[in-house]
Amino acid sequence: MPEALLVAVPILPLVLAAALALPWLRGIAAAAVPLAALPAVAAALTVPVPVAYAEPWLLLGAHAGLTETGRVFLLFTGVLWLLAGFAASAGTPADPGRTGFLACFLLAMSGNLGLLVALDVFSFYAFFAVMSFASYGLVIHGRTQANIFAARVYIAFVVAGELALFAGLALAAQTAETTLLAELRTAELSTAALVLLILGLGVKLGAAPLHLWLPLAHTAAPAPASAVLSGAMIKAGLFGMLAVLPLGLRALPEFGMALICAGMLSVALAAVIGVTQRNPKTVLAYSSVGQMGVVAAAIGAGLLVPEAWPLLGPALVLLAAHHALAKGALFLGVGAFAAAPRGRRRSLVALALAVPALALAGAPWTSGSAAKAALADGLALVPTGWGTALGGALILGSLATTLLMLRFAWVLPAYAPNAAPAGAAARRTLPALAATALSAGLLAVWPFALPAVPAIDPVKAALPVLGGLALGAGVAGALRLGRIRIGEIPAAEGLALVSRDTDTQATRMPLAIRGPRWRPQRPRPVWPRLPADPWPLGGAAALALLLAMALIETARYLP
Amino acid sequence: MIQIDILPLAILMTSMGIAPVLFAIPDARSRLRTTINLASASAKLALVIWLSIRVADGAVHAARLPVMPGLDLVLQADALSVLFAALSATLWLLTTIYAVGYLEKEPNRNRFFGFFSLCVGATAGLAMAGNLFTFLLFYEVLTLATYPLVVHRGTAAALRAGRLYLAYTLGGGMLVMLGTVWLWVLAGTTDFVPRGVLGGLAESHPGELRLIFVLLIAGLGVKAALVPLHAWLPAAMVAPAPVSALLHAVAVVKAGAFGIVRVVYDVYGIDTAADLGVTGPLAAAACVTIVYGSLCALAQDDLKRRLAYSTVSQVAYITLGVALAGPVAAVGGLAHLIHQGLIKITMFLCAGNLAEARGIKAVSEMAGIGRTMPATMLAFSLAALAMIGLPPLAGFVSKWHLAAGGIATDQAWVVAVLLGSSLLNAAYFLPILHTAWFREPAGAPAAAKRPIGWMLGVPPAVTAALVLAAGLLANAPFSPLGWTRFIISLEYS
Repeated sequence: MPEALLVAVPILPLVLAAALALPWLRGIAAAAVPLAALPAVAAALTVPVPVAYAEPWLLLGAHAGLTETGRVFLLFTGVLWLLAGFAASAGTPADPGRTGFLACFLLAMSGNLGLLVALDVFSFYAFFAVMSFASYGLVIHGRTQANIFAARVYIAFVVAGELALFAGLALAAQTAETTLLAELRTAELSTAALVLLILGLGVKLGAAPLHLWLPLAHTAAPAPASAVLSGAMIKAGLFGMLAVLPLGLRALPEFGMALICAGMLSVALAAVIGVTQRNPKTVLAYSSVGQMGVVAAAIGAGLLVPEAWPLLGPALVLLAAHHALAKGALFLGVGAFAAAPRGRRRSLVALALAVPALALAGAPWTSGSAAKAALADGLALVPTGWGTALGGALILGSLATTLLMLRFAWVLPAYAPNAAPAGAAARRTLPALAATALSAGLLAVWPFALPAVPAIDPVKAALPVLGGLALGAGVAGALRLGRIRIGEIPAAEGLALVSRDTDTQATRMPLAIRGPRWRPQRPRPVWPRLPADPWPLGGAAALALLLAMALIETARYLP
Repeated sequence: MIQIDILPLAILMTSMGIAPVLFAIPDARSRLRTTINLASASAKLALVIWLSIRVADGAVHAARLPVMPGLDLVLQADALSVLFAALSATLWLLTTIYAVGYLEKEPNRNRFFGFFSLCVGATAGLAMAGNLFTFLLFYEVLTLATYPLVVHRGTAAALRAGRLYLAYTLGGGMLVMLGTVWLWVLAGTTDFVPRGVLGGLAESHPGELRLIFVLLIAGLGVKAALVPLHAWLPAAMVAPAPVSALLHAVAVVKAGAFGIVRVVYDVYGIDTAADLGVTGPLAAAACVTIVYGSLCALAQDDLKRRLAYSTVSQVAYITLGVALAGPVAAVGGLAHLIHQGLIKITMFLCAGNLAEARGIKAVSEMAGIGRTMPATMLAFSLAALAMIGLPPLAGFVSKWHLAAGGIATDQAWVVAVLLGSSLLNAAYFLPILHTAWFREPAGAPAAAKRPIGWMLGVPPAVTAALVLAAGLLANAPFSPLGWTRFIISLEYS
């Protein structure tokens, strides 16, 4: 029975996606989208761990099962997909791209849930690829110029990430002489393999400098898709790193330091660029970049000081669950807010959104403060130098998140997406409220999943939040007094320097005021057209030459 | 001594034997022709399945006809023969169904189907050839029988492509002949024997053996479309879709690649070839072809041309797998013989359907076609993703083994070549998928020219399903991968 349940985790969404292709089943399949993640939640709650099954005929030998960590990931990922599925199925049936959107949504769900129950490199990579490529359909769904640009950037990063992951897994599996993820973790992998694995998974994680796709994609996708992109799918990168990196077993100081630096860069970039954004979804996306920066820094600390991992590991899992629910609630809430008619319901949604926003900022007694306290306990074991820097980064991260949440609250009321999703407001509001409730109640249920929630020091937790509030108020006041207007830094700032297409951002946001022009308009670089084929007859000439030479040579040797 | 074995002869005759009958049937009697065609294609498939079971059991099937002392025509079924024969028999059946639907009401169908079965018969002969001499005979038959198919429509472009095709393949055939004769003079035999027939010759005549190797590989490389001997293949895309399937998946390019496998494994032997230092340059040639073919494919707007350059690149994977001189890479290369065939035939049949149903021939005309022809584009998309090498599809299995094999033999640079190739594959296939599924058609959608009946619709659907199955069930014992593992265990035991 547990085996059947585990198999159903990725298969049910897959079957529903296939059913969408058949016109006579389309209605039923579309109606069943909210239930597609049910096996995942059921499996996470009922399957005893650890459990492993082998399916030798599948792929190059597939193994499915559930680890302790996998179970927690499966639980929060499944819940988020369940809620997002409920919201996604609320789209208007008249939308011509709806079937395609739902199909991509289900495929991405299958990949995301499947990779959590995969125990070998082949099924993990297969589900990872299904998730990444299917999400293209989620990002491009609106078909506006901004969608198309975001999707193009997204797919470029996906392809690069997939290739790095492929090479990394191939190198790792070959050196470790195993295809089981758990055995890769204990093996001595080559530097090249580790670099490729971290790059491949890092693209999904979205920490700087591999984050450029993230703010674009999470802004462009419809709200339910953004919720799972930001809440669930980027955690697949974290899950992969937890699965293959020798965390707690071996010190890899160079990798640790690189990841810590990348993490700190993410936190700083997210704060500075995020607060200038005018689209609430972009603000949330940058907040994700910052949070994943914290995750990357914590993994780096684990690689630097393996002794700290027993504390850091559970803290990271808690942080992942907390971020998934809070960020999911916020994105679903933005969708519900935009769909709700002005009035009581809209105010209710806006009010509810304050709960996950406070949790993200790390206000006392929220899941965010617990996760951060747990992380701080682990980071305390990192020797001075890096340890101090990391502790500081954690506090700065809270401060930055508070600022970002303030910014979010500031820009939300004016948010009106180009194509406001009409109707079915209740179906969008309910999942948002459910996610909010789960986010608020996470700490109450957490001890049943993993037995480690540290005591929260309310004063310590409140300080960065209050500091952020004060800073935000101060900066806003100063800007108003001085009549200073700050332009929006284009999302995916690095790309803005090289691509003309980011200009379309101006058309994306209804309230956009053109930011500072980053560089003079340049004609679009013409892709060097390759000649069709310079050798239509050259080969034949070469062949004739070879033939003549061969004849002469042969004549010399023949008796 | 004449040796008769009914099974290989029957497999050869199911296609070769019906050709004269098909020539004689007038165009109007299409039902009779279709019946004969499908009956013999089904019979051949059944016989090949039977043969594969016999070979797996270790039975020896060989027919021998002496021509002159020391030179015999030999048909002999080993594990490698079965691999190629099974591919061509399966795809022949599907392509025949497709061709019957495709050429409905066109003139000269008797000529077309006659030469078509000659081609497939020659392929069966190539698969079961027991020595280089027999191989050469069928290699030339294949060249000549394909020409009328390439120029079938008789247009100026088709005739031009046909001339190019003949110039290349006849030249290549000459090289193979020279190499064969020279080898025969030197070694006294050209039999295919696992791990080679050269014995001590490698020490005494290394220079000549290297030259012969170059002759044979250059000659076979023409059909395998190794750069710079590939130009005939993109030109030949003017031929009707079933012929493209034949060229790219069932017979012609595969004959070249299969010949390279035979020469390296069963004439020279992989260890001797590695000792002679010829596998390194072969691997380099394959890598150049992989990258060059993909670069050319990027620049094509014509769908079939893009697919043709993609074949140039992909078929070189087979050569690469063999040239890496290690068992794991060899499994990948040989499995790709089947996988590439399944993937590419799916794409060409889908391209044929797009052209037949809507007159769409260029990538830029495909905007929104996913909505009007969803089943065709679904099959095409599956094949394209498989070609990029995404799991759980067939292409991933080959790529994984090639990469793992490269790493295992301390040639990790292969991984870089594979990554570059995958990147280029993504760069020329993903825009097609984007255009088809996510772009709105520019003007009014192209009017339907003709409906896609089951004869045109089912074959690509079946091959697409096989692409999925070959990847998803790769580890099952009778998958292409399972069979290639069996072959390689014989070569490397």
